[in-house]
Amino acid sequence: MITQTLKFVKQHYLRLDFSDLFYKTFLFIVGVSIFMSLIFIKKTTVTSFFTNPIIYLYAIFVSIFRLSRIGSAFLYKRSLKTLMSAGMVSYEPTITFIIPCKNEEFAIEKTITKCFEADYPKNKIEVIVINDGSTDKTLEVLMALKKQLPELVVVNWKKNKGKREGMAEGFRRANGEIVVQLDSDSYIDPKTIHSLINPFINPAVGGVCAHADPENSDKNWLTKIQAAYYFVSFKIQKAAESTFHLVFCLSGCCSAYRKDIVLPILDDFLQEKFLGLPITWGDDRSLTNWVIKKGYKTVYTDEAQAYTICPEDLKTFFKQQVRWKKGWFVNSVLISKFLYKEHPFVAFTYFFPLFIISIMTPFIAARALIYDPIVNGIVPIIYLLGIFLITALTVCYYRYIARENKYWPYIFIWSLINMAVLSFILFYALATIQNRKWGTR
Amino acid sequence: MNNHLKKIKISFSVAILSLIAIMIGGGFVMKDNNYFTGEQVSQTINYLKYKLSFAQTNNNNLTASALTLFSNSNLTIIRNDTAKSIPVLLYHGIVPASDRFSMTPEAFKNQMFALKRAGYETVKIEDFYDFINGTKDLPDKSFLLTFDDGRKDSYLEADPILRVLGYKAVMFAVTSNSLPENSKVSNYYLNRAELQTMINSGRWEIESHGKQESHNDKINSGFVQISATEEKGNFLSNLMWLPDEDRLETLTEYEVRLQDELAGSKKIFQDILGISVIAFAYPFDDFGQQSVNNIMISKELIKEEIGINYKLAFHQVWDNDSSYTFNYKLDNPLISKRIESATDWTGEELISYLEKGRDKSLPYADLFLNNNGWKKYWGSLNFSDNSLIIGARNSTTGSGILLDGSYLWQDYIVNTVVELTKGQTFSLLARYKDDKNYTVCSYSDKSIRAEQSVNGERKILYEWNADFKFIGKIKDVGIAVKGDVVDCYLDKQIAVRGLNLDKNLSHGGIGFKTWDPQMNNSELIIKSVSVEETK
Repeated sequence: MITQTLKFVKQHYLRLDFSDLFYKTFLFIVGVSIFMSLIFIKKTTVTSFFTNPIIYLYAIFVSIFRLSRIGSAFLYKRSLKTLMSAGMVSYEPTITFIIPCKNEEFAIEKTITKCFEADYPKNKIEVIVINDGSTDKTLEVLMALKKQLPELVVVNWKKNKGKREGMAEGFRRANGEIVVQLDSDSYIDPKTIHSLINPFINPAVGGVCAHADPENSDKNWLTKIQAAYYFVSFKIQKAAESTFHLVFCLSGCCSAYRKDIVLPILDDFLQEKFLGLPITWGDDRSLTNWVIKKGYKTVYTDEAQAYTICPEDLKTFFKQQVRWKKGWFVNSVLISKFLYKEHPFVAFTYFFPLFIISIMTPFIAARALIYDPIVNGIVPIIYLLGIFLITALTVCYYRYIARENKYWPYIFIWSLINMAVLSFILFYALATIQNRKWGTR
Repeated sequence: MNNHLKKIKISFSVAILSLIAIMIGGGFVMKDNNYFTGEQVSQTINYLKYKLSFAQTNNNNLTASALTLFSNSNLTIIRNDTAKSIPVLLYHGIVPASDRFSMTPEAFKNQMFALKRAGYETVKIEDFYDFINGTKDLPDKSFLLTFDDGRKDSYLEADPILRVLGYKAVMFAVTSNSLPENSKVSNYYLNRAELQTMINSGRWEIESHGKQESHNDKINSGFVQISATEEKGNFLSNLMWLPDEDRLETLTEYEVRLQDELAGSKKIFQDILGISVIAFAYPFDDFGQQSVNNIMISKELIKEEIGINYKLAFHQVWDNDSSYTFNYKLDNPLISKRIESATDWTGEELISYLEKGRDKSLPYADLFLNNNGWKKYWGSLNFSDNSLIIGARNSTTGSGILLDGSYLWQDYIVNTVVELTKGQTFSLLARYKDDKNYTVCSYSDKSIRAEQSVNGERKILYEWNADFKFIGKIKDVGIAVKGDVVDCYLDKQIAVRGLNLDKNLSHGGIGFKTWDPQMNNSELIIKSVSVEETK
């Protein structure tokens, strides 16, 4: 009787798992202590305020910025719900998957079959593959697949035209109301397709980005680090952007667009130039920019789950990083003017601060890690401690939202690599920005 | 729907603004807070470490030692006697690698532990002043512990040790280093917050070591250019060269600078720290007495200005100077003496050094088994074969020694056995206060004289001219002082009696001198000395 009552009470009044409650309370206490320590080391930088105001302001600025991202990510679910408040009756528009691919003989089959397995009315699904001049057996794989799945639309280009053209072709041929763009090495979990489509119930939404994790996470230390990084960049960075309905990069791995919005801007998208040359990286960012410029909202949902393949060796990894940095820089410049007029709040609380920090970080890091130790004999303890504490706070949040995710220790390694190597890659990327070679993987 | 987004934006903005406020505000609030710092933590660890180590050296029992960590056991040895004189110890820095001015924490610990075990206790500076002033008695083996320059290291390392021993110390800080106008924070010198913490601890008193500010870079670490050439001198006691105007500063300009240094530094300490400042430590031990200074009048001016602003001022005594090493009642408080503890002394060496300076009671006998406090201020001094040998050096015509700790002797007779091996004259000194104030019996082949010297002015009280033979002979001689009479003894007989000894020479200790017109040609072997009080 008593156990039954307790069970009843627990089920109806205390819908909490106690172990989880303790876990979260523990994380909260750790988080608060880290925050206090962070303030405490600011005490040391305060003394440098008079001698070195730039360093002091930078330290405060970066800390606040990183904390604000976590705070913003915290609000993301609430913000996403407000978009879909107009009744959740079965909303099932027609959808088209478009998959531009080149030399993808091993991965493409899974990408396509997962589309057909989608938990969605079959008559409302269309799949278009654009074979962009593959030189391997991709075409043979596609033709074999076409025999099993007659609904598959294959567009075959003998000559390589570039990913942008492939994407555009997909949009032009699509019959669906919503277009889901997939990378040839990525696929979406068939069960979560509804979550990706649902936000479009709100007519103001132009694009939705799915959550993506590397499929090959456990391959080696590099992929483990990237798994951690993907988690942070989606669950914190993109979620934080999504809180204000402005996600600046609907990931190329798996994102959905409202076709009616994209069609009129395809020409602009294709002819986009930077410093007189066509842009060959950051296609996903660029398309997102156009959607935002049209005045539509772009959001992220972590309920739609996609998987992708991340680089397994350093060379490919750095190449990818360089392309991402270039894409980020060029598209940030292209959207900045528009943004501060139309979305001043986001521009000044997020967009410009991020831009300034990205440019300053390599200088500050070089000063703290190289110049000060050599010239002034200062060991950069405070600097490293600051980075460590901010990262630790990020990890706290990480553990808070995903207790089961095991890659969190790699966040610390990522932040070290980011400070010592990746932040400097920006300069390499800028120096070689006129090199527009089509350099996927 | 837009309302929702607006709400989120507002709560986001509020959260970020409060974050900014907390972070900047928190940083500034904690800036002046010296708790929870690495230094504080290491000080606490050191305190426990020293406490354990002090207890262990006392009873060699780890459990009992560990227990003292939790108790305030009474470490103080009860001292019944009152002090007749008080030494002042001077330290500069405490660093891992010792040098001329800085000792290791280990060496400092050993010296302090030795003092404590020998029964020495610190006094506060106000009590020291009252003692000199004659208005307060202090227990025997009291001493004043002082640090110069306001260095962070000395505070951080010394404080846990002082805490263990219940000692107090005085820090002579420099305003331009510790309380600069531009609030620049130094890693080497104590800052305002630390000075405040020190004061609040009750273990430290802050006094002035000057402003030592650089005037258009003309003062660099205490030195100024003092002539058209690159010659440098101490900033406090020299006219400063003004290169822009190609001249030395005028006396008036110097006086203004002096006043700013002495009155100004005191005011800054008092205003900022809210304490009362009564003492000054002469930078470089220079109150104008040093002969290299470019104006001799600086001594008078400094003396005057110091007297206006401070009750106490400290200079250093040296191994080879002509003064006693301890401070006595009614001494001039503006040239109080400090002993600089050598950075390589062990605790025992420090204690034996202090023993030499402590007051000696009468009767006193010395067979020169070791040095009980004989201090040479001229020529050379050696111990050999249970004798004390004094003599001229290459650069001197004679030699002079005094017995430290004999300053308060009044009416006494000195019997001594000596052998003059070289030179014309040897002398026995009595009522010796310093090298300008004493009475003396001088023995030479032509005469025996009773003389006095008052502020350097010498006067023959009585002279007996005859033929004596001292060279190469072991002689029994002596000097007796009683009231205003001085008697010179030869072979246990009064040879000469001097009357009307100056009133200033009412008390003072004993000493010896040798002299010859030629350089490096005088030597006296002193075989024994005994002093008895006369009633």
